[in-house]
Amino acid sequence: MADVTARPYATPEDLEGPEEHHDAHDTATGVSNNKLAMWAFLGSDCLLFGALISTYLLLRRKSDGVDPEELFDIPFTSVSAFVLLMSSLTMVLAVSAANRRDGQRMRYWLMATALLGSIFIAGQVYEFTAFYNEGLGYTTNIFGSAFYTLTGFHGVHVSVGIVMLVSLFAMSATGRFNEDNAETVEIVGLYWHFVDVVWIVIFTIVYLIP
Amino acid sequence: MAIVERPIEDEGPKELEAPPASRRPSEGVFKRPTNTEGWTSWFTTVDHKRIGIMYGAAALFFFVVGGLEAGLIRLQLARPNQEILNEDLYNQVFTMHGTTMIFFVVIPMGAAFMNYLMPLQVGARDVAFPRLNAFSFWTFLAGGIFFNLAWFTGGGADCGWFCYAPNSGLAFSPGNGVDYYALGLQIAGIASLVGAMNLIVTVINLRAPGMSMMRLPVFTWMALVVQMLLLFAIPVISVALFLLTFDRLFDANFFNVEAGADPLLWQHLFWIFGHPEVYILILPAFGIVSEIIPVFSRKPLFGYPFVVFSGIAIGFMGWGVWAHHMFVSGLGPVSVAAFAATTMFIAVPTGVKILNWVATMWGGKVRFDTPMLFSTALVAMFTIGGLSGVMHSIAPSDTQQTDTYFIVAHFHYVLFGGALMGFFGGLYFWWPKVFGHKLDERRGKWHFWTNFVGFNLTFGPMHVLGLQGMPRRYQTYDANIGFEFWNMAATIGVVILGWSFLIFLWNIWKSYVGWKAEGKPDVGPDPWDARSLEWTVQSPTPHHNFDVTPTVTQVDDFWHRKYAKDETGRYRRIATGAELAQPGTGHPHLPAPSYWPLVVSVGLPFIAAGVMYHLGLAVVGGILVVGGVYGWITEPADAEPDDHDAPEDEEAHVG
Amino acid sequence: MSEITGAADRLRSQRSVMSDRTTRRLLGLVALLGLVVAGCASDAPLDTLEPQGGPARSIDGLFNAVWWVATAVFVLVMGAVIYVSWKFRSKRGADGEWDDDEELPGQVHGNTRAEIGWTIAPALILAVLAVPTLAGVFELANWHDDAEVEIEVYGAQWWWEFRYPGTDVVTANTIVFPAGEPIELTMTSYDVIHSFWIPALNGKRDVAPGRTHTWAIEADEPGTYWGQCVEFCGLSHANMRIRAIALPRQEYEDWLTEQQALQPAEGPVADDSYLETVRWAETPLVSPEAAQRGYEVFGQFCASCHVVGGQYEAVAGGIAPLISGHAPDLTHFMTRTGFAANIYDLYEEDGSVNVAELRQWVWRAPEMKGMAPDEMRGMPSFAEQMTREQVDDVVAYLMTLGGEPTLPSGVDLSEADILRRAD
Repeated sequence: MADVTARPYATPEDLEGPEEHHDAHDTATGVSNNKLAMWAFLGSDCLLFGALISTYLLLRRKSDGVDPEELFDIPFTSVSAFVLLMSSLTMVLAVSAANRRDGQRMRYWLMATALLGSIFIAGQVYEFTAFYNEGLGYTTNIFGSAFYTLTGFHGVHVSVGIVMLVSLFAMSATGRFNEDNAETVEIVGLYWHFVDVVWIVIFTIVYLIP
Repeated sequence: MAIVERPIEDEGPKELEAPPASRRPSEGVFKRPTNTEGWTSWFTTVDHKRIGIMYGAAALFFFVVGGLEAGLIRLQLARPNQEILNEDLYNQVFTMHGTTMIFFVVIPMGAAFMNYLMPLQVGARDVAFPRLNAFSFWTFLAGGIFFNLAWFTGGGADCGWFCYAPNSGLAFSPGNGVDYYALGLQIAGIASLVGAMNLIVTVINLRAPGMSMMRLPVFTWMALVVQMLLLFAIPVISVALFLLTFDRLFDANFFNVEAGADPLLWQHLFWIFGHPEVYILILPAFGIVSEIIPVFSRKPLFGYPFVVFSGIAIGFMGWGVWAHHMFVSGLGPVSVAAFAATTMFIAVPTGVKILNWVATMWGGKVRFDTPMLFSTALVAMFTIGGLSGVMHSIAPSDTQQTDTYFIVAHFHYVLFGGALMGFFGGLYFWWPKVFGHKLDERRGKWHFWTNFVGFNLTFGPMHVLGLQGMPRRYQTYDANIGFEFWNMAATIGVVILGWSFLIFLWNIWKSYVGWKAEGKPDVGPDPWDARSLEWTVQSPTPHHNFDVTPTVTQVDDFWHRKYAKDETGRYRRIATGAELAQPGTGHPHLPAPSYWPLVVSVGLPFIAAGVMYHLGLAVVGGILVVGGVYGWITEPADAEPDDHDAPEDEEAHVG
Repeated sequence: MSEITGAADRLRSQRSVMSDRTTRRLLGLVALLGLVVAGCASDAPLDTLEPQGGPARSIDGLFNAVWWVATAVFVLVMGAVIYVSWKFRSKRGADGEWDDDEELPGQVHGNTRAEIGWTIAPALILAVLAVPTLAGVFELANWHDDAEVEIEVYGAQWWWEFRYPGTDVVTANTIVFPAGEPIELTMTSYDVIHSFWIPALNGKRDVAPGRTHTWAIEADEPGTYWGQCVEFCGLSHANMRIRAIALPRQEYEDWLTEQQALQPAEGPVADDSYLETVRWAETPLVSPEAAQRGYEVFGQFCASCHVVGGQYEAVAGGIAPLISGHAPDLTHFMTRTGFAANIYDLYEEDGSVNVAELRQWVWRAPEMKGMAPDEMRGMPSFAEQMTREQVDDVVAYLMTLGGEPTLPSGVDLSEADILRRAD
């Protein structure tokens, strides 16, 4: 027999020894579980918007009745898109403040981001109302269904993002959330940037490409 | 969709890889439940093993439901021109059969194995997000129950499992069945999506030291591919189901042909999901037999990297073949030609797997215990299904075969002869690990052979029926056109299959009773002389899995600790599994159970019912979901310190 | 099971003349099931392996090729599985346990050369198969390029309509076309997706609303062929058959001319020669007077959906109160061989009209075929509205619509009517 000794999976020393200690980044990849999960979710969400955008592209020309190009108020929507774009900047500042353990500024920028997001949502509500009054309801024609569904799904994403931002703000303000969790801000930031990028795509496809 | 966006906040660092203790009091309103014994503890458990067992039990339950529906179909078709089921009922039965078997039997059965085994195989104490795992299970169950509730509220869906528009529209299916279908699958989809995120993070992040990706057991590899497929496929079917629901309930126009819609939109969306789905269904079984065959052949898996890479290749190529389900839908010849070509070549990686399994057995000393019998049957039966699949890739030939019983035969050879054979083998193989005793071999062999014969007698004749021109989804057929004999044969086959399943249940019961009567003898950690990490812990698996996180140095690390080369260069046993296994005496800190996943899951079908019937129900569901999520976020990250024996410095964290 | 013994006898007696097809099917069965039972019925009118026209034959050629390749692979793999299972099986010791002391088998981890081999080999086989496959796809897509005859196909729940462009000819469930040449089919649906399939003449093609698909059929010889709907289309998906009748070119032209004749505007014509042809006079319930009464009853109950060219055209153009907007055109009803989408034979084998079932159909259609008249899909029951006498009168009237059943010369009804609903 070769001089090989059996190596059990748990020696008595292992069992006597102190509890193994892990910290948040002690994963096989070094990326935290939460962040990895968020990346996975965003990957999945790409397909969600991919399917919605494909549906829209397939259906938008197949409609009669209201002409979208007459309906759209491109300058108005551009401004609201710009607002959403700016919110990505404030989000970056919030993450940066969180990384510097600067709770005060982090809360400040989180609130600014949430505010800009809310302005965008308000713009969307206004826009939907205006379209509806001009005769484009959800059930009016195929374009209506496709348009409201696509932009509506995006609006819901932004709204969920706002809820998350406000929650972070509230938890931080009441001290239930501290600088050790800077990464959570970063993860919410990932989500926020994603939603932002998706809007750039939607804005281009729905509003700008004739 | 809000549900799946939660993890950012509500899943703080988990206990297993907690951040340095941040000295804060726990914040929750309620204490976390601590009970891990007794039947009530199953409702709050976050233990991946218990969740796996519940997935398996639920899948077997739905298997009985779907099986009874299959029995009704065969009964109706046993003889020509019968009226046991009228057209309406027949259409519901086959729709519910197919949908149940795919979404509520094969997917959760795969999830059962993945939940139970993946953390063990990578050397982890639980999945990355234990509460989300519980949420996945309860949500899946909620979806399955909700879907089947249609039977009691006016009839099941009657549009076929792929539910083509516009036949699924309100005008053509005015009952609520299709709504139950769309919303039930939507709920189940949430479960799969959350589960996919969870298991992907688990396998990527929670691997034990030394467990590099190319040392992962093949089952875990296949599970990872499956979860990736789910991650990207589920949102597509979600969109399709949303569009269908909006059309039916809110008068949207997505499939309204009058308004100019194209009915092929649904088909594209459905099959972009639907084809990866096929691999979602079969790859877990491929993983299972890739574990079983080496163990019982007493040889390592032949060509490990090729088996892994062919699995990955299938995962990628599976996205480029969806339109082969639509060869007769009216695509142009260029699309048809392109998809025919891609479809033909996806057969290559599948063939590689088959040949590697045969090569693994080649030169081995194959022990034909029941798990091995099922695995060998999978290799043989899946080959038949695969070859008929290649026939379908010949697009012109497919125009004769599609929508006939030839297709029905094909996908049953793939899903029953493939997936279910693998699952049965897996159940026999891992039963001792899960329950501490083996299933009886003699009854197991009865189960296998009746299953094998019944299966072939049921689905083999369908090849002939299909070639003779019998279309699928026909409530009845005429005498004298050549369909009678083989239909009767198939019905006899299904009776045998029914008995076979009863033998299986009988075996479960008798094996347990016998084991108990003998005073529950210890089956030992490694009853099959196996190769992967789940066999290095006691049977049944201790609550905390591993006393000590194992360290791995190669593929089949466990086997290589049991056997070493002697002077002559031959492998000899140097230790038994029991000598190497962990004693199971440790008391690591584990995540505490939680009520909230169940609460959130229960809310979802209420919302779905509310969308259909009355807003009030949706409000109730909404309260449950929002309240559940709030409770989840603010729940004490852990049970009170004195409720468990964790070291003093383990404080509560945001969880 | 007399079928089994009967089949075995047939097998013995037919062995010498067993066709290639039969052998192939048998081989498949032997391979798939290990059962040596011949279940191949000679009267399988929907068989996909008996092509009787160019497109179907082209498909069959491809099927043959892939069938033999698949059979070869199947035999190889299955042989290998059975061989290794037998050759390398482990044995149990005297105590019934696996002998744990036996030597381990050689621990082979793999062989790159073998792996590359069995990756490339199937890829090559498939590449070879791909060439005729792709050619076949385009061949079938272009089969109708030189077609002289174009027929429009419309699917509806749960019947078929065929229109002949350039004429007013409309038929239901019976498609008549000249043999020996490609026919161009232009297909769409009035409601949901259906699929048009006549196995002997070509593969299937979906018939989808809002889309127009082109497809071809071709029959070598005059004759009758069966087809059916193969895309699930709801309640009566199983009850939606196509009778395809290929005529010699001249007979086809004659048929087309005949079909263009409309019914006389003033009501039914039933002269003595006609009585002779359809033998309806043998049924006591009908008479010219009855037909005339039936004409009026038809106007009261049936004309709100059905068109009879020359007599009732109120709903021509797709405005029938149905989701599809159309019900079968009955102008030349009696020239067809079946009714209720060919689920029921219109004529008995001796040539007399199937009055019993036709009467039942007019009276209580939903009991004879799954339909959903309440949802504006299919024919309602008139059990409440019509008296028995009125039903008989409508049947008498229907029997005046059109002449003899259309069949190629030399084919009689007993040969043509293979699909029978009864018993």
